[in-house]
Amino acid sequence: MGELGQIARALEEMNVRTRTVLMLIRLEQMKAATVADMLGISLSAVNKHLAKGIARLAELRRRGDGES
Amino acid sequence: MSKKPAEPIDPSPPTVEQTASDTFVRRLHGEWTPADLTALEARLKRDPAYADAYARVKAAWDSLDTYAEVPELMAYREQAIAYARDASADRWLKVSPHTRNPWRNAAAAAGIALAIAAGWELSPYGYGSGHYQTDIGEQRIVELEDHSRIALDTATRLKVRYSDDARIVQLQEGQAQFSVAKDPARPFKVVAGNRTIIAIGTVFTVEYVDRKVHVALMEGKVAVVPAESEHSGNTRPSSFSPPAPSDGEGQGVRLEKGSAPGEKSRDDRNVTIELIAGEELRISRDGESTVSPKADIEAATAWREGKVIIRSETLGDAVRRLNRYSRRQIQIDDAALAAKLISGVFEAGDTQGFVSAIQRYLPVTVDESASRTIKLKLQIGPTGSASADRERSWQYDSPPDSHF
Repeated sequence: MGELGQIARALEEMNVRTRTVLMLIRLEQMKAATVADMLGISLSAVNKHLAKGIARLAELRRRGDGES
Repeated sequence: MSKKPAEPIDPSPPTVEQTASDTFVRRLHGEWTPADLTALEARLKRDPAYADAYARVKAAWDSLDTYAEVPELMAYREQAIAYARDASADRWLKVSPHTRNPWRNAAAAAGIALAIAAGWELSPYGYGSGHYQTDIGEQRIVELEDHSRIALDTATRLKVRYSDDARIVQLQEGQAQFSVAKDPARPFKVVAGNRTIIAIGTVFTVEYVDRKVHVALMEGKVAVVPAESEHSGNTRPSSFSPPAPSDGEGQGVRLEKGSAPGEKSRDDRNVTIELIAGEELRISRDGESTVSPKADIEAATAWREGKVIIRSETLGDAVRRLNRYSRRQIQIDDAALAAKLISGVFEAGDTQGFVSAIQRYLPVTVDESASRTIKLKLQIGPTGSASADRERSWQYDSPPDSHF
């Protein structure tokens, strides 16, 4: 599986809130505080979701299928 | 809305990637001291497994950006926006109009048209007083409580103040088109820099960029007066009483308007200038104003169709206009190059297309090594000076996958 397929699958399997935080912060360039505000969760929860989401994507790289 | 219970975030023991990712996020979002950096660097040195994991975390972070625009990720971005919008829906009911709307950035970045934020949909009064703004590449239309409409172009900020006896919009930056509902008791005023445009029942655009004001009138009649007296309060400038609702072609009093045909420039910033449909007014940074009896309405409203029309402008001015639509900025370090005149029709946001066109017609070298800027330089060599000040003109058709 290519890198994109791998990312897409990981996102699909992610908890929706984790994925939401990851998308909003990474790709919509939102501030963590804004995301916390909108989701009604704490700033630290936002950062935990973010770290968890990135970690998941990083773990897939370790298994290395498709990643050069 | 009932508060959702907190979810357990990480029940399993952390993997090395999770540890690395925690640090990565902490570094990203503040609470990061020089001591933290020293500690991280030390750990990266002595713990190869951690260093590898940290590298994978960083690669994962970067890879998301690489695929930001592919359909798979766009779908998740849209979903994320919808999810967060639903989650915050009830908060919108309590939101004050002065609160910045975080949706606009998200919608703009994802290229999704979120015409009306959830809370406003539920308001019986439409948009009222408050701040409105668009992000780079975003356009939106705001319908105010009196059914006047404001279309905001890219990177535009404005402030609306409605009261019983006045409707005042302060255009802080950017460009907007105003379709004004008739209300003789409450003149509609747009303040741009040190000018105020006063209108009754009319359609016009105002651009305020780089402290230059440009007004083009499509319908009705407006008067442009000095804005000093508008900043502090509601006192109307004594030299002007709002025109009666227009009954056709330019029958009203033409205050201070010269009788000579054609363009007329003046540098007195204290005069009142009245415009009728089809006219345009430009005011330079120094306050010199020029009225043209025949407005280039096509150029003035091209942005509504996602186009930028440039007619005999310096490359510097053209780039400044194009840059307003794009996160990737064109930079010109060369005054001689910036002063060259160009004309053309461009897709707003298609920075690449613009640069390619410039490359075809001007002796420039393009440096695209930086991700956020494209640098243009005049080519040094015998070909550089021959056609130095000739105007370049072309029609550039953007490819269909233009991303605006």
